[in-house]
Amino acid sequence: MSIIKVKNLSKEFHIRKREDGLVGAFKGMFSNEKIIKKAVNNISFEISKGEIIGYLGPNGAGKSTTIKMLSGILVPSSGLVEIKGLIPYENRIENARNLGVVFGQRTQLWWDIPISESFSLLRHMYKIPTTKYKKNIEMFSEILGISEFYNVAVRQLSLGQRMRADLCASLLHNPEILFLDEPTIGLDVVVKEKIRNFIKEINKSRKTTVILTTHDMEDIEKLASRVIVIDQGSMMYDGKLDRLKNIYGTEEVIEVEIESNIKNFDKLYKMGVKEINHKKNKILIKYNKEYINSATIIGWFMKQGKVNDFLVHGINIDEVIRKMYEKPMKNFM
Amino acid sequence: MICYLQFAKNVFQSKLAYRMNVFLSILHRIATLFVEVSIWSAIISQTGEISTEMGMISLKEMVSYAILSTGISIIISSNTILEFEDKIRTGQIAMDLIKPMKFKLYLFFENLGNNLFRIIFELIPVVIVGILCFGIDTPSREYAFFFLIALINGMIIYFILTCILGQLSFWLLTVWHLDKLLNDMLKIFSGRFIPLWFFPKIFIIISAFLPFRLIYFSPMSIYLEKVSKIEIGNILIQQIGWILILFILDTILWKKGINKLVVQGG
Amino acid sequence: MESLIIYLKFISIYLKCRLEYRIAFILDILMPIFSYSINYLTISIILNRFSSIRGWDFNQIMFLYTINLFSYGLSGVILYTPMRSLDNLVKNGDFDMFLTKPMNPFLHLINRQFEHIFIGHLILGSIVFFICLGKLNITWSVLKVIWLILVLLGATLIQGAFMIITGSLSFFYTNSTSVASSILNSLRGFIDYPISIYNKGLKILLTFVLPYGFISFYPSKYFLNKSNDEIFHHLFQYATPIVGILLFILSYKIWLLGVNNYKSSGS
Repeated sequence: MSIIKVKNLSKEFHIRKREDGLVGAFKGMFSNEKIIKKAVNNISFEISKGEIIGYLGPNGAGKSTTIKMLSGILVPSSGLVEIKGLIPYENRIENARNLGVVFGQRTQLWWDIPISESFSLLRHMYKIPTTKYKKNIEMFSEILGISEFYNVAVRQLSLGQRMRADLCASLLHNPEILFLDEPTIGLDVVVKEKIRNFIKEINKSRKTTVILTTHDMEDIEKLASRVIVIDQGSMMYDGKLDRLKNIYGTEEVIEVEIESNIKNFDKLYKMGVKEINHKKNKILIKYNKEYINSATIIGWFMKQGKVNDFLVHGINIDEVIRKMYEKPMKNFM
Repeated sequence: MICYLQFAKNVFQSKLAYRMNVFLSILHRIATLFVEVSIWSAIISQTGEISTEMGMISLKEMVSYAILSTGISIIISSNTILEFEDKIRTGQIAMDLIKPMKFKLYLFFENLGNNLFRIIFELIPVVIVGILCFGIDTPSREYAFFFLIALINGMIIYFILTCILGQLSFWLLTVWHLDKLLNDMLKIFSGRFIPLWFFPKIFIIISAFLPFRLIYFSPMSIYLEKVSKIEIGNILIQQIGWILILFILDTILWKKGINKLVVQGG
Repeated sequence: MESLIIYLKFISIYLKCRLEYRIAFILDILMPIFSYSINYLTISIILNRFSSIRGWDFNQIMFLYTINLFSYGLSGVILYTPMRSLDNLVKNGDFDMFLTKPMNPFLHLINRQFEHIFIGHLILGSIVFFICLGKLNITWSVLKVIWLILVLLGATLIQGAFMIITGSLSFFYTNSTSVASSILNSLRGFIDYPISIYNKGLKILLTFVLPYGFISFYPSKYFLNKSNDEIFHHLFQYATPIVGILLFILSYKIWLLGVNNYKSSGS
């Protein structure tokens, strides 16, 4: 049973045309020319309860626009959005009760007052029962350590602390669906790890459905089982992360450290290796997994002399996505 | 120099982008002018002319006064104080200081862009409306010339005053209070709304010790030919004196402020 | 009802936090008191020289001015900063957040910002009010006091409506709020003096287009027993509460239009 349903969803924006230069600015004062921009173009997907979806795409791809339409902030130009059978923009307030939203760059907390007070105001807003509220606060303190800065005003918090507080704030009312827009942006490794574990934990214990947009591929690798990729408003891929890697990620790099000096690599090239770079006794070999595997290459080196060390650089999802943007392959949908 | 002019152009251009604001600003200025003229008409129509220490004042002169003072307020208004506050509080000033340019000059030219914009889109419409609706007195060529000089001096005084107050952000948490305070002082001691010739004696004495009247009242009394040539000389000397005093104060504050920024890191 | 409880809770938290910086808090409140005292001083200088403007003497103009100041302060504590902040919220897209909450975004916005600075307006307004009430020979009855309260509330609604309308402009035009609100301030300057000093066109403007006249001028005519020498009907002096309610409803409709515009065009 899918909890989120999106069908043929599109959104167009009308932007006022602006010309460069002083003369252009003068012209702009009196003209009303508009440009139409398709931010989201005919996308469809369904998401089941308890899934964690990685929603990926370069800047300006239409990720945020989609999220906004899902949360009822934006009205679609055409197409259908349904969350738990409700249309978000028509039932915004009801929909909001099932929703937790975190925008990484912004805060939903009150700027000047301690987060404890912010939480208490949210408790009234969502009408959260006291026992549930207390239980949640306890749990959040345990996993995210918010008790350290529980009585500090938001403006005095570090980015990492604020992000943790914001995440808690969006989960106080036990929402069934959580939208996270770049939740780890600008954070250090330790806080990132904390936040990821927390999301995982919430997803496991509460069956919360999570949609995660991010540029951090580690977020995706650690959390998402399924990814949806979008570029220039159109859907590029929807499916398992592993499959995406298999399709695009056929290139690997192996790093070999050897004792003796090898001058002639012709044989290796003949075996199907793509590129070889070497500095002294360190050699970098780029190859296509479909033609040759790492074992064969290492085997060849061992025949030449002593191999001190080697390291296989596996497929990096970051690279995969980048490649995808370069050459879209719609037939893999 | 071209670099600084570019700042002026940038400001000008970015203001053009918000056309709603342009129309609203014109409206705003015309509205204030109407209020002032109406008040003076209501008062003076009761008595005809008013006798003051500076001679008889007619309604037409008071109307000219209102148009002029609205015009001056358009030309001098600026964001300098709040801009200083913002730059110092956010630390942006450090970024501006590492650029190869004089910060104050940069502010001045940004202001100039603002002013040019205001002259075209606020001053000219307001003056046209003022002349069409009420009419304005014109001075002789000689007095007009001295008026322009006194006006420019007044603008410089105002600019340095705002720089001084803005720089206090190096030491104070917020300076918007001071921005308001400056406006309040101008409201009462500069002759912006009420010409000093209607003031009780005590206010005239106090205002003589302050620079504010040199921004509004003095240039306008030249325009209306209410002062003799000797008095004009007196006004110009006072203006230059104040410019020097304020400039020295400004330089000292700037050095100390930068020093504080460099030594204590803001 | 429930939102009122949240609001009161919010205000108490807000004030508690502000009061931690006591000096800044006091300065913030003293500032408008000083500033408006200067305005009173300006009026007193003019009336000291000319004794009356179109038959209104100093105390009467004080009365007029103070209704304006007090109602502005009252709507300002609640609405001013939320409406001023809207510009940035819309520009940065932060208004999104208000639409992800199960609460009316208008109430939510008000619930996030309070403006203690306007407490200064209220303090000064109250003081001047009591001073000129003593000097004004108005015979008070229970009914008149109730009417005065209704007039103040109506005037507050009118002031609030204008704040909401200028704030809502930012849904349609970026960067417009600060200019719009400075215009509002200068329009408010229109009613520092009785609007009978203006020409016919301005009177029509201030009665029907931007009904600022109903904030202080028309109701003052009733309290000060001014004869009706205006071009408009004498019943206008009783209209303030109704005008207030109607204008407030209109402003809320404009707000809703703005939110809908935001929902269809984003930031």
